[in-house]
Parts: sequence; structure tokens; C-alpha cells
Amino acid sequence: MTTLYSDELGLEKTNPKFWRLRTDQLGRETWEYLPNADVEKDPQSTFTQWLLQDEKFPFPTPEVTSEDDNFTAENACHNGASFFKLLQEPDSGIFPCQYKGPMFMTIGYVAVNYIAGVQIPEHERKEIIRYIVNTAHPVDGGWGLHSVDKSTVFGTVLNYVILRLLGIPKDHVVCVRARNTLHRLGGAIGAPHWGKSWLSLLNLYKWEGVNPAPPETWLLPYKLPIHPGRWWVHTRAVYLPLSYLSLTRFQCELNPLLKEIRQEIYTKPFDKIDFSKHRNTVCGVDLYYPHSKFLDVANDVIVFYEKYIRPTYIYNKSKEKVYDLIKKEIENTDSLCIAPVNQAFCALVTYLEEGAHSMAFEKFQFRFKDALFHGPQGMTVMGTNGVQTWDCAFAIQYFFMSNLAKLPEFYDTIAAAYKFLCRSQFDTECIPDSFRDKRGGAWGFSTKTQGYTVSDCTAESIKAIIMVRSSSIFKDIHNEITDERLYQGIDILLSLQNTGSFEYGSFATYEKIKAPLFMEKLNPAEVFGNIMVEYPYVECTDSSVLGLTYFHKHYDYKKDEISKRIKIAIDYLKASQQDDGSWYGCWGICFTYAGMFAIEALHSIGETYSNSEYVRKGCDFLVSKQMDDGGWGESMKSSELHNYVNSDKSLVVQTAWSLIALILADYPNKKVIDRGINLLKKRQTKHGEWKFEAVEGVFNHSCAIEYPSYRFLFPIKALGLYTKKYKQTAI
Amino acid sequence: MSTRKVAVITGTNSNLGINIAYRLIERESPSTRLTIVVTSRTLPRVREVIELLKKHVKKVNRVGLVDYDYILVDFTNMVSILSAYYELKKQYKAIHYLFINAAQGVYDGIDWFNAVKDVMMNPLDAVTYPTYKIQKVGVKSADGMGLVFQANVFGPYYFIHKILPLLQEGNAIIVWVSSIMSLPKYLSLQDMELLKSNASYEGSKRLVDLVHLGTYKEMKKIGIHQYVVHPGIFTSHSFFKFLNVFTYYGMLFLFYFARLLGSKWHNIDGYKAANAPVYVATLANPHFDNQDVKFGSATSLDGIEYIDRADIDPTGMSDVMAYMNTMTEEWDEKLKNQITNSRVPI
Repeated sequence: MTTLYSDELGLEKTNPKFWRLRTDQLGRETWEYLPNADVEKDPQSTFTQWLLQDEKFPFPTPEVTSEDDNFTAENACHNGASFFKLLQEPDSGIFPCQYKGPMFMTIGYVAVNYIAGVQIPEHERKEIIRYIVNTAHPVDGGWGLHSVDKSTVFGTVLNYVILRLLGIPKDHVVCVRARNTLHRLGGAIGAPHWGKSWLSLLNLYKWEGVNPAPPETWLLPYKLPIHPGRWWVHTRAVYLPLSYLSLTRFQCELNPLLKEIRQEIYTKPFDKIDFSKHRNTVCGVDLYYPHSKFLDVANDVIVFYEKYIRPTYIYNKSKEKVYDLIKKEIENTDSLCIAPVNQAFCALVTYLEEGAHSMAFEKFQFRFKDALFHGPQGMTVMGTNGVQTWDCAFAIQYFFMSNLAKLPEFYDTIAAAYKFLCRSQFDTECIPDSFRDKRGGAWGFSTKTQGYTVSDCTAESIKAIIMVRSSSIFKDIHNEITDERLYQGIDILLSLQNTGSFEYGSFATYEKIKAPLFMEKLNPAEVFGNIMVEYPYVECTDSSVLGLTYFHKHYDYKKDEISKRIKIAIDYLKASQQDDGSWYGCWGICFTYAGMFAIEALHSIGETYSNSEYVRKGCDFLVSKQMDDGGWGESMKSSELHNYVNSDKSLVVQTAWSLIALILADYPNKKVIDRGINLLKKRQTKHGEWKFEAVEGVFNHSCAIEYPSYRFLFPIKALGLYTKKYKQTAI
Repeated sequence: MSTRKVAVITGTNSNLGINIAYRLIERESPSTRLTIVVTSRTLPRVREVIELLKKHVKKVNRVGLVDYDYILVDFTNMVSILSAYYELKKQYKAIHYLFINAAQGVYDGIDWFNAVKDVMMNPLDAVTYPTYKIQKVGVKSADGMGLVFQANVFGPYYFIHKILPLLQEGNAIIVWVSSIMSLPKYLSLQDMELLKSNASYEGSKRLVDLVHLGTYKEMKKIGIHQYVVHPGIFTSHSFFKFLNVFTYYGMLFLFYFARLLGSKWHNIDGYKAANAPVYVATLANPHFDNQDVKFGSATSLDGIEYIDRADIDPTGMSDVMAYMNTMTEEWDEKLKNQITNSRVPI
């Protein structure tokens, strides 16, 4: 076991042997802490043993390993797959993982329970503390937006407050260090909008110092581009309950502990602060995306309106409207809501409307656990309730592409993942007037229960399913899904392509783009970019092309229409390539990720290094970034700066991404590829594992998030494609 | 494989800082892949600077790749400095250029009465060695040090002390940006942290000169070449908040007027001001001689830039070095357990 900072400090911890991960048929992941007596009768899954570093984990012992001279790419591919197989939960078919990184999720779980007077179970309390302590900045003891960020006011104050609410005394070394950093950054007064909101709810800040989130926007005609129903789903979903809370200006009751915290997080005595002057005070270290002047003026006007003009009937009407929509969100997602941030806000509204003992609030207590995930550093609330569908779709495809699907030893792995995908297709519609599109036939990112369509997840799932259904090895399970259901999926996918006036040919994430991109001028969040409306994404467009081209090859359904759609998507893709040949990636770090997807999409329509200017430039860009050891590595700063920034050392995942692009592009210089392949081989342990190196994913340009399966999935794919392509000359 | 070089420019977001970056991008051999590490106290400024640098690279058509990186560092906070060291050490094996450019004064406005009087009585001196900028006296940092002393002298000194192995690995060139104002009279050896001085900015620059004189020989022994320069007089963004449109143009007029009267130090333009720092770092001194003088950015009457050297009065150097070294030991001790074992990758 690794010795962690929390161990050095002697912090309490739970017994890793008592934890069980439960997953169900729909991919719900929850952690249970067993009473002592049950531990023996209820064995841990191999995934849990691996994750929690139990010595009983059955490490595979392949015949030829990275320690042998005759170790080939094919061996590495096979060993990697044999290892990865152990990380699947056999009953549900999913590959669970701690989808962690954002440091502003757990506050929701802790604060809502605190406000509602619900005790957090002791085993969770200890592990939440451990996670926060173990992710503190090693030098200044603060926290940032995400787990590898510089310290910011947002991250530091929220996690400081969690520690205090969970019982860590203010003179504990962890609190002292964090508080010093918070004060250096100017104190909690410089927290961005969401931070100010959480602090206000906890009575640690005052609502007059929070920029407005007027619920009246929901009463505007839908025709206006400003209508929240046209916003990006996450922003819409967060600001919906937040507008309720901002309208009612709810603050929990002050108590002695909160009074103490009030005196700890500011550089001035709480009572001496005029909060109304600090609506726009945001620490310069936190600030990624400063307000537009337009938004500042609009906020001033709205503040005036709210203070002096807002009639009571408008107050009541908008409150009613918003609460009605919140109930719809709850119903459409079975209380999961789109993700943990808005789930916590919705839960709080439910608590205020219905009470702590209502069915609805108790359902939230149940659903809170879906995103609360345990790991070696402790427990945290993940970015979503998991990555189930996304990982399964990739796993199936990459096992096929690497010729592993032919091997009987992987039959069960693929079959279980495939069945999970078949179960996870959406088959119900949202209740009317939810401002949600038709979803029957689509797939989401995590689970069917969460129920939000995602373009690339739908496309990748369709592709994975077609692979299984086209293989005679899997004929017994072909009928888990019908052609008609695939057609429904294709229909949804086609409906998601932007074919109107916005970003023609592209795909966004959850919906079509419904309002002009200049709406970004109203972005109030300060820490995230491109969040107001849907944006076109290279990766989503690429995945959609991959899904459509693959479907097009195997089915006659809407043949001409699909050809046309592929063509306009490719046109969009080419137009979005930058002068240097790169594509900026929004969901993985960063240019290597988008480069891989783009080149794979171009490959799927027959464009290669020798016949396509776009592919050539794309490859040359990647090759120019190859590091001395043959690998590639990109830092999170790439995403922040929109500029390629090397990581401190090469990384397995980004090496795999670059290699996949070069192999599929028929890049002529095999030596370049061999050097990368060598690195993947070298980094594999003798058991076939690739160790965690650095955060792989990102969202909204600023927040890093881990995709723990990527370090298996993409190297397997790269090594498999390489072996298949170079056969005898493969190293 | 092309050579790679890493340049750290503190305060890259200042007028001088960005111009140092511009000139370095132009002067560095095109076969070098150059990484500019932008430092600033805030993120929005970092992003702006990188956008400007990218434009400049395009404009001058640089062949070799330029990479960017950033660190947010506050030189008035020792933990923040330690953090910057930690980040650099993690990311780089060697640093090749270090420009100590970030500096601050604690200004409180302009003494307009004296300003007008001085300009009338002796215009050239008034705009070369201005004494009518009001500075606050006795301002301390949260670390308990004289704020200007820490920001301009000890903070950077300690930063160099921490990253020394990286500088040594890169056979680095260190350039301390001093000032034309760093006259010996501004420093009292009894007030090393400039807490009693009403000219703490000038005093801090005098300290910079002496710190340079006191260290460059030792540095040379380990392969690091250190220079001290001054940028002359130019328009600095840090003082704009005390000027309006009239006084701004008034200032510009006086600057040009000074040049007309024969002042070589009125570079006015930040780009010209960045001449000396980049000159010493790239072109001058193949044998690294003349390190005991101060190189200044100068401009002739018709606007042609050149380099001018001046001697530095070494009085007080050993006292200053003794003080710096004691402080360094003190802070090494205070910070010895500051870095913890958190964020272990698993």
C-alpha cells in the first residue's frame, strides 16, 4: 500500500477489506461498508481488490512480459486486455471507475446533508476527509478547481468548509495551511459565483454579494435566444435550482460552528464586510473567463429590479415555474439529475419545499450515493454518476479492432459489455414541457437512468453494437437488440447534427445548438468557458462520423441522407483544423486527443497521409510534438491556454492517442511509430497493467477529470492496430 | 533534434516583461525550440500575454517552435515562491534564461506641487530621476518583511536560490532588471528592508545592484552568468492609475522633450527599454566579461537604440550579502517541512 499524506498525519481511515462496490443491471454504482461479520461471506470483486490495493488481487502472470527480450506489441496488447478484463464487474458488464478530478462536487453532498440535519455515515465521513486531505496542494495546502490545479479561492474555501463541517478543528495542520493560502488569495470574498452561492446557502456569505440568477428568464418567450431552455443542458440544469435559491435567498440557520467558520475564511471580520460591493470580486487566480461588460451592466440592472421593482406576483409565478421544472428534472432522471452539482441544488430545493422526511428528499438520499465513489485516496463525489456507457462502447470496439474479440477468453467480457449497452438504450421520453428533446433510441454518457442523450455516446454505442452483431462468434446474443432500435438511435443522432444556421455540419454534445454562440457573453460562472449554449465539438463530430460511416457500411437505412450528413460533418471538421494542423480537444487533454479523433474520422472516409492535406498536416503536427523517449505527453495547461503544452514526462494515454492517429493515417515513417510503441511496451508492468500517470480528460476548458479506463483502452487499441497493420515487421 | 531552451521571465505581463519576451523570441537562434514560461499573479493576464506572444511569433515568422507555459507566483509570499520552484522543478530539467523583471512599489499618488516645480526648475532631472511619486512608508508583507524589499529583492533572490540546480543545468543567464534610479543615497544599511524609507522602490533597485555584484562571481564558478541591467525610462502600466488622459500625454510630451534635451535614457517605448536585458542575454559578451557594470537601454536623439554601460558603486555590498544570506538560512529553516506528500499519483 502506498503511504499517503493522510496516513502520515495519522488521520482515521476505514478498513479497505470492508468495502463492497455494488453495481446493478442499469449500471448504478454504489459503495457499501459491511459490518465485520459479513466480510468473509461476501467476497470483494477483482475490481475492488485492485482499486483498493488489496494483496489478494489476482495479478495475471502472462508468459511473455515487458521484462522479456522477445516481448512484442502483440504481447503487450494481449497482456493489457487480460488485465483490463479483471476490472469489469461481470454481472453488470460495466468497467467502474472513480471518475474524479473536480473539487467542487463534494460540497453539494456535505452541505445539503448538513443543512437538512442528516448525519453523514461515519465510514463516509472519514473517507471524504481523507480524499480532501490527500488532494491538498503539496506546497501551499490549498485546493483548486480540480485535483491537480493550483490553489484557488473556489477550491480552497469549499474544501476547507467541508473539512470544518465534518469535524476537523480549525487548528489542525491541514486547516491552518489551507487557511493561510486562502488568506494569501484574499479570502473567501474572491470566490466565483458558484462558490459565493454555496457559502450563502451555508450562511457564510450574504446573497446581496452574489450576482443574480433571475428565474424570470423562464417566463420569457422561448423564441428569445436568451431563454434558458436554449442554454447548454448543464448550465440550464444548474441555474434552474440556483435561481430558486437565489430568489428565496435561503440561508441555513447560523450556529456556533458556522459563526466560527465565518471568522476564519475572510481577511476581515465578517460583520465589517459590505457584501453588496463584492458581487464581481473574483480572485485573479480563480478567474478563467472574466465577465463581459455587457453582463456586468445587465447584473446591475437586475439587482436594481430585484431590490426595488420585482412585483410579488412575478416572484411567486417564477418560483412556481422553476419549482415545476425542477420536479420535471427530478422525474426525468429518477432523482439523479444531470450531474451532482445540480442534483445537490435540486435536493436542497426539494428539502425546502417538501421537508427532510418527504419521499422526494429521501429519494435524493438514495440517489446521492450513485456518484459518491470510494478509492485509494478516499471518497469523493464524481463528475457524473459514472462513465459506464462511454467506456463499454470503447472497450467493445477496441477489442474488436485489436483482434482480441476472436479469442474465447474475452467472449464474456465483450458479451457482458454489449448486453449492458443494449440495456442502456433510452426507451422512454421525458415528460412534456421539460425543455428536453426526443430521446428514445439514444444513449447517454453514464446510465439509462440519468437519461441525457449524448451525441458521441450514441454514435460510439451504435458502432460497438454493430461490431458484435456482425460477428458470427457472438450470434447467440445478436438479438439482444433489434435493427429497428438501432435505426431509432441513428434517427436521434441525425437529429443532433447542426444543420441550421449555427455551425453547419457539426455535432454538439447533448442537443443541437439552440442559440447563437454570442450568448457566451452572458456566462456568469467565471471559472468555465463555453458553457452558455451548446458548442460544436471536433470530438463529438468525429465520433458521430465514425458511428454513421460504420452504420452506413452495414445497413441500408437512410443511405443517401447519411452520406450527405457525413459529408457536411467532414467539411466542418476540415474547416475547424487550425493553421498548424492541430485540432483543439475539449473533452480530453488536448490536441493529441482531438487529433486522434479527427484523423480517425478522416480515415473512415478513406483519407490518409498520402492523399489528404488535412491528414498530412494533422500528422506532422503530432510528430513535431514527439518527445525524446518516443512518447507524447500533454499538460492540462494545453486545455487552459489553447496551446500545446508538454507534460513533464511522456504519458501512455497521449502516446496511444498520437499513435492511433499516425497508424490510421498510414504515416510513412514507421520509425516514428515504433518509438511510440516501444514506450507503451516499456511502461506496461509485468502483469499487463499501465499505472496511473496523469489526468486524461477535461471539461469546459479548465477542469481536469480522470478517465481511469483510458490507460488500458487506448494502448490496447494502438497496439492492436499496430500489430494488425505491420504484421511481420511489428516490433 | 533541435536544442530546447527554457526562459523564465518574471512579471511577463508588464510592458517591459512582454517586450523582453518579444526580443528574446527574435534573437534566439531559429533552430532552438524556445519555451517561454510566463509568470504573473493572475490567470487572465497570463492568457493575454500568451495571446500577444503567439501573435508576435507569427509576425516575425519565427521558424523554430515556441512553447508556452505559465506559473502564477506572488513574490511577496514565500510559500508562493516555493510553489513556483516546485512547479518548475517538476516540469523542467534545466532553465536557460531567467529575467528577474517583476517589481513593485507601494505608490500612493503624485505630489503634483513638487512635480510641477521640479519640471519647471530642472526638466531633465525631473523626468529622469523623479522624486514626486509618493510612496507609502513601512508597508510589510504577510510574511512580515518589507513588502517592496521582498517583492523586488529577497523574493527573487530566494527563488534563484531554490532553482539554482535548474539554472546550473542550463548554464543559465540570469538578468536582474534594476533601474536608472538605483542611486546609493536611497539605501540605508540600517534599514535593509526599506521599512523606514520613503523611496523604497529606488532603494530596492540599489539592493538589486549590490546583490548582483555580490553574487555574479560565485555564479560564474558554477557556469551561470549573471548581469544587471536597467531599462531606462519608458511607459510602465503600473503607474497609469494615477494619470488621466491629459497627464498621460503630458508625461509622454515631457519624455520626448527630455530626449530632445539630450537624455539618452528616455526610451519611452517598452520595446526599446527591453534592449539591454535581451542584449546581455543573447548577443553580448562571448567571454562573459564586464559583468560588474550595469548595462542600460539607451536611445539617441533620432530614436536609434544602443547600449550604455555604467559602473556600480560597490559600497555596502558585503553588508547586503550578509543580510541576504542570513535571511535565506532563516527561510530555508521555516520552509523545510512545507512540502508535503499529498497528491501522490495512484
